Amino acid sequence: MTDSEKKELELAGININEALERFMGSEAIVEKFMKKFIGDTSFSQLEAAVEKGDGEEAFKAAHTFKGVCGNLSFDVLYGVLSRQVEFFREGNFELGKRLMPDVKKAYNEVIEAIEKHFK
Amino acid sequence: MKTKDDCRIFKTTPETLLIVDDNEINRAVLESIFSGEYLIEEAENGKEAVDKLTLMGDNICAILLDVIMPVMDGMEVLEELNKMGTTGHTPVFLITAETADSTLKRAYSLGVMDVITKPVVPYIVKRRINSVIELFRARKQLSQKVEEQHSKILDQAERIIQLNMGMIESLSTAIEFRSGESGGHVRRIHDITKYMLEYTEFGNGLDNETISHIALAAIMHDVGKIAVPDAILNKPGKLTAEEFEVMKTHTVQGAHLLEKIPQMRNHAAFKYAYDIARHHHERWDGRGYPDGLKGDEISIWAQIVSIADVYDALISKRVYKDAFPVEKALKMIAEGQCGVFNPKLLSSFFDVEKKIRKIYESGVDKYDRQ
Repeated sequence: MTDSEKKELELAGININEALERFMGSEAIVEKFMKKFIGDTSFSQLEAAVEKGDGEEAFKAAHTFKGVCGNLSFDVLYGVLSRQVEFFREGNFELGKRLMPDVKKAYNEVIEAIEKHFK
Repeated sequence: MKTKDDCRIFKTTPETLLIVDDNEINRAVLESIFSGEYLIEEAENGKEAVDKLTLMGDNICAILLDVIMPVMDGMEVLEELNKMGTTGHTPVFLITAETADSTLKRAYSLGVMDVITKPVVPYIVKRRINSVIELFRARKQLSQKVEEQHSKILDQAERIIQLNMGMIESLSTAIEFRSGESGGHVRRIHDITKYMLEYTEFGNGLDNETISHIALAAIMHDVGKIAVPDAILNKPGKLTAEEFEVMKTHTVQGAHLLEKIPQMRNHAAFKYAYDIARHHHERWDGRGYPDGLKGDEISIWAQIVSIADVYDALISKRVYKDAFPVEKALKMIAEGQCGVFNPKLLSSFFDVEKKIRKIYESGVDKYDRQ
């Protein structure tokens, strides 16, 4: 992976150096997990829970999603989700819900970057 | 150097890591960190984890547990593991994006070894988890070793007790041998005394250890006979008054002899042995010897050995007499022809006499008793 490729991933909110470190420096493993993330249902589960207006479900889904994003070093997405999880935990469903566009934006950026770089 | 034992321990060391997380990517991340060192087993939710643990139990060396999961969450799993006693011997780690204080507190109180926050940092996770697994392994090996040594010590103690008893029996038998008896007599006195203490009211309040000490002491009741000359000890006919006086000294001499052996003096059975040797010829009516003790002044054990001794003497052949049939012997005892006994002891003895007779029917003793 070239430095400019890394730079692009970083602009999309992916801390690629940290991710590489997590996977023992193996680009192959990072690639495997990034691709796996495309099929991961955490985001759609979160969306569905928020849509339903179910605060408890939304909390769980955001929590799980946050864990996955942390493990893959999606720093921007992880940051938004961390704030959202706290709102849901405190019972501020509306405030959490208001973060959904930010979540979605960060999510789309990550997905696009992955699709572009790990074809 | 590795011994055979070490290898055995090594072989039984569990080496499967159970990863519990509902998200596949999270599981895979942990798997990629640990798959080089451990076998990996995965579970998608708490229930699956508990099921796998029940199935694989001892093969699991650590559990990495997520908190928020469907079906059964991490806290419920912890509660279950706590109930199963798993947390005592298998380290459980909480791997979680959860940072709420109350959750962590509760997790620790439920026996979690450590809490590791997501996103995981491989170097740290590895280090923390490996050292705890190592600790649990070492602890297990150590307790296995201690257990082995403990049972070895118990074995040795048992052998020493057996040897001790063997020595005491040998001494007593050697002395009895002078009057033409075999080892059967002392063995039977031991067995009858033990039986009476275990199965009649006369053993009330005595624990098993005390009973075995008393039974051992009973073996030595006649050691004082070593001080009685052959001519008197083995005289086929009736003893003269003077000879009988000498014969009677075997009680005092026996107690004296036991007292002179330091190892015996320090033995837990000593006080019983001393008392039995000295007083097994006392009589309930106070007309026995050497001290003329009366009634309850005579200890229970001396009384029991006394009746056992008379019973065995009657139904065995002796240098001065033939063996009597059991029925006749019982009649003689009941009629007071062989001494006066505590009436309660007599009735207890008659109650269990049929059982006691079984001791005589065992092969060795039958062979012994000519």
